[in-house]
Amino acid sequence: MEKAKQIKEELVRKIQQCMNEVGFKAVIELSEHEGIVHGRMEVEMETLKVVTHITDREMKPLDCGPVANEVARAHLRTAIIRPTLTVQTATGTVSKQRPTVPEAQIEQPYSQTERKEVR
Amino acid sequence: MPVLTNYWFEDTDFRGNTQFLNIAHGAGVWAWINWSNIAGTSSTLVWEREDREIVIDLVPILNAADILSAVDGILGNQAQRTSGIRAGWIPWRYVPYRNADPSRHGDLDLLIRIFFDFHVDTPWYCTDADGDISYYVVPFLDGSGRLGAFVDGWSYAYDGGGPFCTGTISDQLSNSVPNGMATLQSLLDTRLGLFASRRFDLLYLLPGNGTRSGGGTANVNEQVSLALLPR
Repeated sequence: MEKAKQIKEELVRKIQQCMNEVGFKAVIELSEHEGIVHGRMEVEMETLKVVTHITDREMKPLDCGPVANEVARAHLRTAIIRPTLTVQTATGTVSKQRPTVPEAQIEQPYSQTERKEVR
Repeated sequence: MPVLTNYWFEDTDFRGNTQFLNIAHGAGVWAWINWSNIAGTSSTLVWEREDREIVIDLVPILNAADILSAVDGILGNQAQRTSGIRAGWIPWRYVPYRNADPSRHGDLDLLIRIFFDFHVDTPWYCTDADGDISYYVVPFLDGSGRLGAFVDGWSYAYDGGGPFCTGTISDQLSNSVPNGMATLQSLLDTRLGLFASRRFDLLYLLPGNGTRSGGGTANVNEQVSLALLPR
């Protein structure tokens, strides 16, 4: 880890020096995992752009995570009624039986529901 | 008289664009539901809604000024929120971190996905990034019928930031977004305090704003209401 960091730092400085020698005012952006050297230079009405990127990882543009298990489990121990598409029973007296989704349909979510005109 | 609400969903497992129709329905009689245009739907639900039902449309509540300000604080200077807050239902089966603890919930248990869009400005050598940040909330009733809710997890996803900036962007988001769970939990606890003295028999979610009359469309992925049956 330390060796890789040293190499990264040495490399970006050498690249910066190289770019500066030909007229760029190269800028270094250095972090724990990334090293970037970039610069732009106007030459004969054209803009030259140079970017060098050094990294030790492949990052994805997405991530996710649950709350700690002990936190979730503590809440779930007290959660008696929660929203669900399966059958549930009210904590108190209910006035009438509620329509439910049959378990067979729940277990086969990708089967098409037959559409009917109900009269 | 109770109301029968019929929902047709674009996707399987009761997700996506939703058409709904409400009809008054007494016991012991047929319910007439004439659907002339339900093509392109893949799942359906029907709920008989009691007269005592209370419905709370979550989207307007979550877009209160203090909540928006707190959400903006989660992002700090790294990113800007570019949409209002949306709140839809998502079955556990489709929550992105489900595999971290699959048995935590049942596959068709519903979480509320609270989410919004964001934008990240980047240096000239990268494309700007645009994406969304989500928090997953479980509302519940405890054994005494008291209303509660907890933040179960988080996620983010974005496009852009290439070719060199995704690392920095993801580092910042992976630090700030999880920390936002505590902020959101605090806001929920404050709002739920308004119900501290009330007790309920049942809690469920309804697509859209939970209207009890007429018909229309909504997107259950982006708008749900919390329904409660008070004792």
